[in-house]
Amino acid sequence: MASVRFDAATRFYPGTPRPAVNELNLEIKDGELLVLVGPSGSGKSTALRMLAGLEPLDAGNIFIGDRDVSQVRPRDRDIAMVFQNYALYPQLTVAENMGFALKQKKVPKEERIAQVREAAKILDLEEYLDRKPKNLSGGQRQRVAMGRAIVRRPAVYLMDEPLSNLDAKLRVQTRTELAELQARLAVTTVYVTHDQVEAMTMGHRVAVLKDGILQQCDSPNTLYHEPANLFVAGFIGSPAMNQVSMSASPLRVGGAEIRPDQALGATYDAFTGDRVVAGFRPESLRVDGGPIKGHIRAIEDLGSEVFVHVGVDHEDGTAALVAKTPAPFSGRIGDNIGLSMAGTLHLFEPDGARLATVKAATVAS
Amino acid sequence: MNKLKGSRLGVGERRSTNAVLGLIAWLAGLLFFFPVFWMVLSSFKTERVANATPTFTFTPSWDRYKEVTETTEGILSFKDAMLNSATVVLISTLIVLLLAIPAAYALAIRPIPKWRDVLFFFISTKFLPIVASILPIYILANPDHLDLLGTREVLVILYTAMNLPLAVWMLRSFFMEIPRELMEASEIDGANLWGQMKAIILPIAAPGIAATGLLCVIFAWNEYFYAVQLNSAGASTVPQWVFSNVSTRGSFLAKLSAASVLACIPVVIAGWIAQKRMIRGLSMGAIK
Repeated sequence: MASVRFDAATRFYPGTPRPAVNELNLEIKDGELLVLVGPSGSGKSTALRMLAGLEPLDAGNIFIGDRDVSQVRPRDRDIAMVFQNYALYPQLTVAENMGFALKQKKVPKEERIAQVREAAKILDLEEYLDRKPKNLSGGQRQRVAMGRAIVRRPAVYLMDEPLSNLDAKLRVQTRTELAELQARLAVTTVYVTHDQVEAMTMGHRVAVLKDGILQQCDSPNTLYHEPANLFVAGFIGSPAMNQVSMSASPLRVGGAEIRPDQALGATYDAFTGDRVVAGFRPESLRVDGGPIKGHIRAIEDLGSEVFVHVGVDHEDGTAALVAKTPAPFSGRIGDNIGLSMAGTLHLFEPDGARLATVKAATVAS
Repeated sequence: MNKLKGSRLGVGERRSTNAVLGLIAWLAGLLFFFPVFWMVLSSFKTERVANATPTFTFTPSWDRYKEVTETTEGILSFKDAMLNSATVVLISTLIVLLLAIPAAYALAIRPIPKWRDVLFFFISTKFLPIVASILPIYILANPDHLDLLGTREVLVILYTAMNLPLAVWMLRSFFMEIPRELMEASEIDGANLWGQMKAIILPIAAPGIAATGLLCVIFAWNEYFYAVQLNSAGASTVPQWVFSNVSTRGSFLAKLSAASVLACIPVVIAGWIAQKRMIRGLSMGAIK
């Protein structure tokens, strides 16, 4: 077991204009499950592959524990990896797949069998030990891939979208099992996903990447409630946070003024621009005939709650807002409705940096 | 339960069109198979029947086979030719695989810059007509230089050179099919290059290696030009032995057929063995 540290780690793919991972600084504590999340091309998989030793570093260092592993071969890094497509050895049985790494390490046969059995027991794979991967279902293959990793007892687990090939129901179930298993084994884990729900539910901390640059690394709760910039605000949470560009003073959306309940703070006071982007989550909007006037564009009824997509006349154009409201909802597409805003308001600079997070509410004008 | 039978027809296909196409395919197949069939049939005939009006009704006999396999002092025997061919073919194929597997690994899995040019260079050695190469080879193999005329060694060297480019090309494409993640997984699991080769690459590429080996065996087994030019005595191979049954004293069609059938049998057996390996899916169940 060990901590992991990225120290200005950079990777340039030959022939590309910008680094796939750009001066990544990140520290992962011993026993922590850290999720790397971001859209495709954000560099999350590259960062993981750099830690695995499958991609060389063009600058910076990576440490596992106190050891600088930047120039160490993958097989000498004491890591185990679960691949998106599982990468099971097709000609080997489940038991041989799980015992492969131990065999490479020249662990005696009896000990190897005992360790494989133990891992198989944890993962409920005992009856499949003699099967070949092609005779297993997707979920079983995923567990074998996990088994191959846990048999090793490595310093760090690396997981590259391990659940994305499972169907939706199995994915949710396996997600919980995986988080439990990680907590039980208490091995440092770096987990890559593009799914922000997976990231939020599994990660002790979540690192959000975009274009190879780390945007924010915090607990899921902090990411949701105090996003560092517009990108994180839009990426985390589903449906996404409402973002409306408006004049810095007064703050008005769709003809209604939003009034903060408290002081906006020093950062905001120092800001000299005349435009800001206001962000507020769908749950901060209420469909109550309030002062923000608009018409319904779409209704997403999830049974327990309803997302109402509203087009609001804002300044010279239209702003698209989403309100979350409890079911049942009786409105129809095209209806004119009024919304009010009450809850957390984030203010961002137009180029993305966060200026303030305060409680706020609309006032009738 | 309903009594529907599943249709074998694809969407928009008509039974009559399919029947006509099927018939054409069968005819084409039979057309290709017929000469082989006729050869086998003729080998059981007497010379008189074989040279008369073609017929399917005759009393079959093994006599032609006995005749061609008889050993006569001073004439290349069936046994020697077989032994020479087997030695030359197996050794050259083994060397080809030993050289081509590392080359194909390098080109497929860790390509160097300009790997396309390397591949092109390999295949470019096949551009030269074999006839054009015979004179320099003959001079080199002469007693004044390497003194290899009439030996098995010269054929081993030439057949290795002849099959190597093809084997590199074929094996490279088979190695390309091996999922990248499997090699990465084995690297993380602690396998070194040799371990990776033994545990992952060779087993998964086994069907491809079998196919490549079979092709090398067939090409080397059937090679006639080099064999006859460089090896008129001593280490003659099966194709030369078949030709030795052609006589100026008349056409011995039945005898020649028997010799040809015997020459085909080892290749057919090799094909049958290789096929068992080849039909196994390349990497079933490896990913997803």
